[in-house]
Amino acid sequence: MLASVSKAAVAAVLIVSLGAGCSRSQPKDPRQPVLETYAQIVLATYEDTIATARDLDTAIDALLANPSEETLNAARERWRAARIPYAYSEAFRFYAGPIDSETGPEGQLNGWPLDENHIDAVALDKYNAAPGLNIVGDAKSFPEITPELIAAQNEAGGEKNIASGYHAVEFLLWGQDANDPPESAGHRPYTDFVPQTKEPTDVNTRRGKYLKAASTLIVRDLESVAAQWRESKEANYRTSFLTGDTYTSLKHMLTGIAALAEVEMAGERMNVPLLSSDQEEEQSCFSDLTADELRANAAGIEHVYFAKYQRRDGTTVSGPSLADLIKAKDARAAEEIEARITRTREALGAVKNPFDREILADNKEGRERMQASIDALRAEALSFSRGGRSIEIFLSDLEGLGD
Amino acid sequence: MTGCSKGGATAELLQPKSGGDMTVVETSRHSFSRPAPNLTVAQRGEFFIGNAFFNSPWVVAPASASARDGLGPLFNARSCDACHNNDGRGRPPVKDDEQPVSLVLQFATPTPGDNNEPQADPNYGGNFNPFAIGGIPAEGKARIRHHEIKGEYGDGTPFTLLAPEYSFEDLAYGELAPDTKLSPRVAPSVFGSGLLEAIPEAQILERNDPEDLNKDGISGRPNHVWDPLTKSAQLGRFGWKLNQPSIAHQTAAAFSSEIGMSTSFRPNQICTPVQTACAAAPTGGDPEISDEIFNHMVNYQRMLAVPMRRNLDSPEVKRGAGLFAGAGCEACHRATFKTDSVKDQPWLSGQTIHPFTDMLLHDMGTGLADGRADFAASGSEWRSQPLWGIGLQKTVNNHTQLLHDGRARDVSEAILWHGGEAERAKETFRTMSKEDREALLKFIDSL
Repeated sequence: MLASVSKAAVAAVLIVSLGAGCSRSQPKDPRQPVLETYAQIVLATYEDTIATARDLDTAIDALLANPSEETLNAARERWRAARIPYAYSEAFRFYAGPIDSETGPEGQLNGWPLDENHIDAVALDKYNAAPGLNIVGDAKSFPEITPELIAAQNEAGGEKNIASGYHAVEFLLWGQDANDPPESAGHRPYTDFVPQTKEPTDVNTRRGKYLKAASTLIVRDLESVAAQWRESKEANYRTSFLTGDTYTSLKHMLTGIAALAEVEMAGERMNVPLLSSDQEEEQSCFSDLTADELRANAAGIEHVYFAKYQRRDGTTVSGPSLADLIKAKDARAAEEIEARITRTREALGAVKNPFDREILADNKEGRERMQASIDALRAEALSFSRGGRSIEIFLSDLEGLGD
Repeated sequence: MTGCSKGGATAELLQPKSGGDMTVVETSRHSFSRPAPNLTVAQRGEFFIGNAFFNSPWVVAPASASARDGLGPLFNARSCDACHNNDGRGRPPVKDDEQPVSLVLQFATPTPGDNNEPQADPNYGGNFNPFAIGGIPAEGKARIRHHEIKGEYGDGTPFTLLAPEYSFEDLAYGELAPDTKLSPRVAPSVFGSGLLEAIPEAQILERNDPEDLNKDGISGRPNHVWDPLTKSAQLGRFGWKLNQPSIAHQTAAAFSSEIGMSTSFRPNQICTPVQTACAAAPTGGDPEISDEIFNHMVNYQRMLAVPMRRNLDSPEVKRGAGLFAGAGCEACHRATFKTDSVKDQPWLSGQTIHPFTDMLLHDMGTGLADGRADFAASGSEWRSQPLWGIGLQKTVNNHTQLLHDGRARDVSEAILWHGGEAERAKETFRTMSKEDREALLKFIDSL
């Protein structure tokens, strides 16, 4: 079924595949090593998300054992660090893989916007509203705060009540971002975690319990996804990805990076905030980490396309890539992709922190930087579609789309 | 084209591109969620913005993301996607203790208002809200029971239909008015709605025949609904009784009744006089959904692609097409329209489309009647449901609950519930040989 891949390209792929630790001597489909490298990069990335999520969890334990300015800041730092490998892993979304199948935990891990009122008291705001009933404050309705309780808030059938995941932890660590001044993030004091009484109904104690439960759930969810990508005696997602239809697996790889670039990054995370100019119309609105996360998203796309990922511990996972396949068939398409990846990296590099100032209606330069990134990301997604076509992988809704 | 087409030109029933240039090749659970392939890059950008809002949950005010707050105080669902999941169709609850989310239970008193509009129940408003934000009582709990109706196909094969019965418990705001009527309506799918909106009125009225002057047994007619914004009567195009004239009207109505959020179209919070906590709760702004965001969401719906037909080469499907025409199904499930030229929406313009609906109301008999008028629609009239995409229904939404309240468990049951003007067609189906029934169902599955 594979169209004419030149003998030289096949040889190149075979030689390069030795570096990926692949023990096949005769791959049936010359594209197989590309799938294997991808699976390794996916697993390595998720393992790094787990390691950093565990570090965050440890820092939360330290905060709750001894609430102070230092322990709160340390936990915030660990949260920031954990977001980076997670951002890389978003390149593996959008094809109903383990992260975002019908039962996948993506919404539970990264859901936004947060239903703050449901989690914890929020301050009176411009509408002079009083805090509503919430889980932390309501010991009567929610006597036990556990990971299961938090997970239960995300009911089936789309009735999501986003009260879990990274942004719930972010909200608890930073508090609401009142934008005063605009450069600032949320301002929660560490004293919000100092128990006022020894009773289990103490609000600050319960807040700590919520924080710990949410963190526990993050680690648990990430591990469930990693398990699907690990080599295993029992058949799992990795098994079907590597032994199923090669066309489908390659299409998933391309769909993930094209959709992340165009739909999620350019569309949801940049174009929407740009148009509404609402300062808090940003993903990580409590911590203002959004711009860094977008840069990490873009890096995640590069990890997939070039099949090269440097892990937290400094080691590198690499091997035959989509870049190799496309270059072998259509050097011009490959050049275009690389040029657009570079342009995207540069455009996103120019976007300033904090994100919520870049999008303000009166920030002409900031908004231009945002628009340049949006344009670059869309162009990048298009080039993935063209590159895909050159290796006979068709992203159907991007098919036939001109520039 | 009027009247029964007895086995005539079935070529029209077998056209692959149901949405013209807005047709996309897709058979996954995203089949109803794709941007049309004939959009420009800039238009795709617009699509994905609207898509972001369509899928995100709205949150309780006050929230940091203040463009998105204002949910409720009373609501059915937190997001558009919750009911129109994957841009597809809603369903009644499956579990005993499940409250209806994507099935809306509308209320109306028997006497319509000055402009023939349905009047709400004095205590519970225009529809039942099983959920509320913290601190506010939800309206109560709905209970759905079924009684069975048994029948037989002409060849003796038995079938069972389930007729739903609704009741309410734990009502929080007093009694429902004794003469309040109930109309249960599931969320219909939203793809292709831009094309339906772009069909010229004159084409729809080609089959307008309320007195059945051509004596074919079919008396389709349009609904004309009062538009408070333009203070005029408009042709109804959307909703189970064609009670909304445009996508914007439908979207604003759904935001208001089912999510509890105000728009410029519908600026008021809907709290009845006895729902005092509801009226006192903080709002998310005035209006809660800005015009800008609202327009993105309307455009998004206009840009959703229509999935291509499948299996058109199959001889059984082709045979089924002939049976579909011969039974008279096409008289209401009209195969073809051509859209108008729409300024500012070139992707919709001049498209030959195959939605398999005539965009008209038909009397469907007493079995399906809800006894509740909706503007010009009587208690037993319903629109011809567009059949495009129905073969992908199971893939997209993991269920095939069909008809206005989702009572039919599959296409066969949906057909068997047809009565009134459709009685004759139903009987033709019911008395077909098993092979013929299966061919017809295969044809419908190709849509």
